[in-house]
Amino acid sequence: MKNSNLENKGQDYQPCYDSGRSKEYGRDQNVGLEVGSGQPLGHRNTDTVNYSFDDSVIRIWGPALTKDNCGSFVREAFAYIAGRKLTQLTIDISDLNDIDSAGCTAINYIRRQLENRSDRVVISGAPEVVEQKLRLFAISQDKQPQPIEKPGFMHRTGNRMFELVTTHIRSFISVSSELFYWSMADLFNKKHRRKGSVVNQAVLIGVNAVPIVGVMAFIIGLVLALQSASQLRNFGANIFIVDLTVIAMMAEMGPLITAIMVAGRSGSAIAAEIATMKVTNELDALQTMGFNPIRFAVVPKIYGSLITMPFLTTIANVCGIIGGVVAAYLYLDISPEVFFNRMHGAIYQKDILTGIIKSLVFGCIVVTTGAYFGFQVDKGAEGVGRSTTGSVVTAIALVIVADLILGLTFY
Amino acid sequence: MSEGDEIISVRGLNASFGDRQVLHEVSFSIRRGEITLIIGGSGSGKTTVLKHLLHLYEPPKGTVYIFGKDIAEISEDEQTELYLQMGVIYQNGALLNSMTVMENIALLPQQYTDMPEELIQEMVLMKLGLVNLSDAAWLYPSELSGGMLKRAALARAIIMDPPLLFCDEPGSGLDPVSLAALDGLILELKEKLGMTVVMITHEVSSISRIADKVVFLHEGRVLFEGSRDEAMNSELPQLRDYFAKGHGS
Repeated sequence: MKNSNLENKGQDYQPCYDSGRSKEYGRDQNVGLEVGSGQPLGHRNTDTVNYSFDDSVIRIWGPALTKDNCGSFVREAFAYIAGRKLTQLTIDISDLNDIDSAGCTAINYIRRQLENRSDRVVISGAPEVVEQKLRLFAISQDKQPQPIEKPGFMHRTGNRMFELVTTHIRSFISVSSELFYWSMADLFNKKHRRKGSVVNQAVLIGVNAVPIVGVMAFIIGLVLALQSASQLRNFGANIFIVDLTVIAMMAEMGPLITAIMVAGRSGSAIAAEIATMKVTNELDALQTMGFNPIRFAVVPKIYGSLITMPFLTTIANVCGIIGGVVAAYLYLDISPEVFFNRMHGAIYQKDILTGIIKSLVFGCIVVTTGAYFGFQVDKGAEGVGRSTTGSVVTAIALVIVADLILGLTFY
Repeated sequence: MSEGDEIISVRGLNASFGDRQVLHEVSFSIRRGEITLIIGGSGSGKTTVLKHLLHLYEPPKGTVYIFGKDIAEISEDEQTELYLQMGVIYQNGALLNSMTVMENIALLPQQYTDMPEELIQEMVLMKLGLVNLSDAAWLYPSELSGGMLKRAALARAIIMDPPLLFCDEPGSGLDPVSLAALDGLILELKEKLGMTVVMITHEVSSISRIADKVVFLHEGRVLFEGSRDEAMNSELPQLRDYFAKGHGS
């Protein structure tokens, strides 16, 4: 390997580029850890490198061309090359002691760019160690993949709509129908049900949600009554606060609040659980053990939600009405006795039934959506997060659409 | 510091999970420019040792010296500097799923050098070419096979030319041909770049192919530390048994 007196070389070469002064790049202090002997740590090379640009010759010399100093070198080299018409460029590295993969890439990059514009490039005088590394870290010309061009906005939108219709809606219907089939099939077939799985899911989806659903329903009932009270007082129709609160809660708000809370709480958990099972190949394992993943992992959740949603909705209704009682008492001086007496006249069996039917439908939507998004996961940990978010947003949207359809059907 | 100097030194390392002690007074050393294979059966503590070497675990007792420094005592800046001198290949590749292979590998030079973006891209393609994975640059990790993931992880690990390369069971899930190719590549990196390689493995075939030194762990204890030939000819019953049953091969 050629070795040179670097200080002398630095003075000998008189660069012709720009200022005409020799340029030094890189850090001149050692930033590595000190080992016991006080030497710099590892192979990290923080030495300087010198280079000059002369008539069709780029000369590089110094201890090493590395990732720490090749960035500036490449920028300067291109600035030099850009303004000149060259037919041949010589890169003289005869006094370059060492190089790393970044340095090799820098030299190869300059060479290729020039060759692309039909200039000839000669790398001269490479010491053995440098030449070896240049060969090792050469990029193969025929193996350069082109970046995939990203489609435009309209293209992407069209693709998404097409995908929504052809893939998502079809898959959703497929998962829903399979879930419906197995839910019906297992209804009277205890043998295929894991012991305790339905109760476990009922506790997770329903019982554990009681406090949050109760508190939310109470607050919404209270706010609903408060907002209405100020308007009703203007017309002297105070007593209708009872009809308004009770019908709104029983037929509409109770089931809706419950469904939204369950979608946020349990729908996301279902999506995350199934997505994780898919990512970790648990679903494949179930399948190869002869279990249908939907039957094994989702049907108990459907049962759990169908059992508990009516109760949860009833609790939400009661809490919401209590909120209404409090608001009526505080703002309209309607005592609880008067409120409850009026309530008997305001409520119809149909309202109660509507609420219960809605809660069952909403429960099915939340579980099915969660399961569907769980099964759709495709990109590891990131995909799990996306499935979870998607399941909650879609479940809430579908619940509201279903609420509209049921509302139009019943009223 | 010349070739053959101690680059890693582990002294009296103990580790436990809860009440269960998994490492008992583990001591060994690793020299610059060597490929050291840490072998042992499942549950012998290999991965726990590796995590201590990477300072991902804090040892309750014992010391790990890397480049002459006790890694438990160094400052946060020094730790970052140390991590920049290590490349790590995790068992499952551990590429970030939200990024393409190109973006995964370009992360370090983007963060820690002032190289222009085109040059970084060029360097990533070159490293991908080294591991024979040029065509996968714009794919996401979820679109790669197990072997491709391992090679992409190797490309990421060597992007900054670290002097120290740690590999956690790089052979798991690879067919013998891919494993031999990966071993060959690691050997080339060691020979041409002088990398020091610490590899956790089950693969007996890798020992004869690339090992300079072998550390044998059994039930959390170092039962053997020596050269490849010494390991192959060892009379230690547990080691003979390990080779005889050809773990992982």
